[in-house]
Parts: sequence; structure tokens; C-alpha cells
Amino acid sequence: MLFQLGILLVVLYLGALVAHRLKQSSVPVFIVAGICLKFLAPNPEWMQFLAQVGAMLLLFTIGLDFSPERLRRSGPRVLVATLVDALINLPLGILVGIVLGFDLVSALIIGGVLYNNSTSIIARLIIDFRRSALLETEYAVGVSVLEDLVTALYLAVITGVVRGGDVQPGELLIIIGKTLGFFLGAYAAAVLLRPVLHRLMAHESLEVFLFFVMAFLLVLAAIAEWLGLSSAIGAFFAGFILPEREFRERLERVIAPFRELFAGIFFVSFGVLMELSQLGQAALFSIVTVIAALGGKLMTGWAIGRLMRLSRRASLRLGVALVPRGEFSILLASLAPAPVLDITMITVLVLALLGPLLMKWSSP
Amino acid sequence: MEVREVELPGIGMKFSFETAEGETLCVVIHKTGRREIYRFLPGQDTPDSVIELSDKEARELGAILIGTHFQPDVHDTARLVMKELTIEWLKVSSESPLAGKTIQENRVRKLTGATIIALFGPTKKVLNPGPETRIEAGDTVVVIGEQPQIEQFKDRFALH
Repeated sequence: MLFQLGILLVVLYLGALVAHRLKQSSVPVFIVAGICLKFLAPNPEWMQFLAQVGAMLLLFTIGLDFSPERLRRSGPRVLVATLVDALINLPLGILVGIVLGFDLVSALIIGGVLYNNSTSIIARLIIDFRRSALLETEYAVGVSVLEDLVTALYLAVITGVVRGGDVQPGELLIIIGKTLGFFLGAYAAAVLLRPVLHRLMAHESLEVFLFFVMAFLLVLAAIAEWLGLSSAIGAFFAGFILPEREFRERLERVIAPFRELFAGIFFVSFGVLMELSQLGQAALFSIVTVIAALGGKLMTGWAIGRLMRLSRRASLRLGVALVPRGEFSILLASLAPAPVLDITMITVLVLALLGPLLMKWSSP
Repeated sequence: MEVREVELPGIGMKFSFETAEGETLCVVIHKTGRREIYRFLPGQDTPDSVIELSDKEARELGAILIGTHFQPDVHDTARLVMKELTIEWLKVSSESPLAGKTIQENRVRKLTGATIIALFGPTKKVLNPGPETRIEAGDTVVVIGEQPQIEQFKDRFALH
């Protein structure tokens, strides 16, 4: 096992090096690295466990970006934009799934895959292309962050459906109820427990702080799993509940090294999971999903732009900025049978490569 | 002047305002500490130019802009408003009771609560002046305090 772990870490090292050289997000590079690793080491069970830890840490960090205050603060314009985005891309994705001949659950998963943007890749592209100050950027980052909350709830429901097997409408309602209950519980906890959490997290010892945060994360993940949702959702809401503003620096210092390490393993492990035997068909299907992914977001950018009276160019730039997909899409796809995961991986890869090119093309 | 403040999740904070010439200036403070200043010409939604600064450079530039190193004549009265405190640069005219007396004689802190933290004259520059320091007409005093204290200071000593 130690030998395989060694190979895995060498691959991660090389991947990070290449990503840095190419000035790319490390997500697509790690996926490709995982595909290469497939030939070196089979897919051991411990890797799946480490990948699960990576998923939890990733979603915990995404959840940290949320708080009840931020939800209340995000203005009506961003909320409307988020609604427009969901109304265009979720149905479009589900439709694509059905047209490609998948069952309903897989189609719902493809809907989520095509809907969710990668907040981290988008932020990186916007910074690299010096677009932070542009008006449409407010919508691009605002929408992609709120999308993560919507997708987290969506993911929780889908996980419940997949775990439950043959789900009847009544059971579906129970799953949705549980998810909403979990969300409302987390919201109430975030508001009510704030003073207590604040005191516990303000402890002078960094060691105490680390174990508190990690324990909190894992306990919530365990509760979510016990409820039949997914551990990643528990981690997401752990991030939602913890007050982050005052502790941002501390959290970053303590969590970042673990997150980078395990999230790297998370992305690599999905490269390993790809079924290369059916690559031809998956690639063919991916042409459709990539076109839908591009078209959907360009349409979203145009619609939001019209509504908010942005210029034509700005609307185009908004659509382009929303193109990259990432961690949430992969996480969703991992719930579906193999071909969906393969299609998602290819789509994420292609969009990751197209993202910077489109940004350059749409540049002012 | 109205400064618009927008949070950019995953990036940082954005501050923007319109200048008297109709240009829009946008300052983005990244989570990493990097600063960017974008200049938009009137009616444009893409920037004409972008200036990038590191955290250190931005602080230095900020200090220069508020006049730490050199106070131009037009800035006889300048003001820096922070969350709790205000710093104001005030030119002392000959009518002001401050002129010709020391800080102690004027009982500045006792009467107003504000504190004089620096004193500039045509030939002098006193940082953190002691109670014996004499203020002359034509000097510029830099005073720090809460907003009401500063107002009281200006009223009391006839400074505008």
C-alpha cells in the first residue's frame, strides 16, 4: 500500500507542477493524471476513502463561503440571475440526458452536472483575465456561488434517491423533506449557535482549533450520512454553520494543506475510475453534452444580460465566464453508472480547456 | 462622493466611485492582498487601463495619496475618515485662538477630546508634538479623534 501511495503522491506532484507551468487550474490536470495512473496502479479501496475525505474537505471549503448573513445580503438581482440560470440549465441538462437514452435518475444527474459551474475555476479565470472590476463579474461570481447551494441541496436529494433504489413519489417527498429539514436545521444552528461557536473557535491554541473544526466537520458528515443524504452535504453545511469571517485566516491556514492534498486525490481517483473500454461511445455522447453545456451558459449570460441591461458584449462575456464545470459535477456524476461519469469527466476536461480560450476570444 | 461596495465571493471586495470628470475608478482588493485599480472612461463597461499593486505597494501608494509625505497647498484642509476615527489636516489662520500659543495653553485635548498628532509649517515639521509646542498662524495641524471631537475642535478654534 505504501508503494502505491508513493506513486499516487508522485503523480500529484507532477500534476501540480504541470498545472503551474501551464497556468491552468489543477482540476483537469489531476483528472488526466488519474487516467495515466490507471495503467500504473489498480484502483485500491483505500483510495476511494481518501477521495471521500477530499470531497468532504472541498465541500466544507465551499460551504465556508456561505453564511446566513451572506444569503440575506446577496441582492435581489443576483437571486433573479440565479433563478434564470437554474431554469435554463437544469431542464436543458435533464432533456439532454433523456435524449441520449438514459434513465430518469441518470438524466437528473446530467442536469445537475451541466447546471453547476466550478466557482473556483471561474474565480481563477476572472482574476487571470483582469475582469474582477467588470459589472458582469458581480453576476458571474454571485450566481456561481449561489448555484453551489442549490446544487448541494440537489445533490442531497439525488443521493437519497440513488441510495433508496426504486423510489416511489412518496419516498421522494420524504427525501426532499429531509434535505430541506437539514438545510433549515443548519440555518437555525448557524444563527443560534453563533456565540457559542465563536467562543469555541477563538481558542488561543491552533491545535485545539484544528481538532474542533475537523470534529465538527466529521460529526455533521456522519449525521448527513445517517439521514441517508451524503457525507459531502454534511461537510458543506458544517462550513455553512461555522462563522468564517473572523476566522478566515486561521481556517485557511489549518484546512488548506489537508484540502489540497485530499482534493488532489479526489480528482485523480475519478480519472482512475473512468471506463476506458467504452471511451468511444462516451466521447460521442460528450459532443452533445459539451454543446449543451456551452449553449446553455451562453444563453444564460444573454438572458441575465438582457434582464439587467448589460451591453451585448458584457452579456457574452458573462455567458463565457460561466462555462467551466468542476468538482460538483464530478461528485454528482459519481452517483451515476459508469457512462455518465465518463461523459462528465470528458465534458469537464473539454470545458476546462475551452474556458481560457473563450475568455481570450470574448476579451474586450 | 458615493463609494459603491460589492463583495466578490472567491475574489475579494470591489469599491468603485465616479470622479468629477465622469470616469469610474474601481479598486479590487483580492483575498490574496493583491490590489487592482481599474479606470473606466465615461459610458464604457470595459476598463481603459488597469494598475496592479502588491499589498506593500498599495499601502505605500495609499500613504502617498493621503499626503503623508507631502501636503500640497490645496490640501490645507484634508480629511481621512476611518471606521471609528477621523484624521483632519487644518490650516491655522491668524484669527484662530490656537495661533501664537502652545498646545497646553489651548487645553486642546481637555476642551475637545481631539489630539494634535502633527504640525507642519513653512519651515518646520513636528511629529507627535509635546504640550510645549507652539502653534503659529499659517501652520497646518493634523488632528485625530472621533467625528464629534473633531467638529468641536474646529468650532472651538475657528478652523475651517
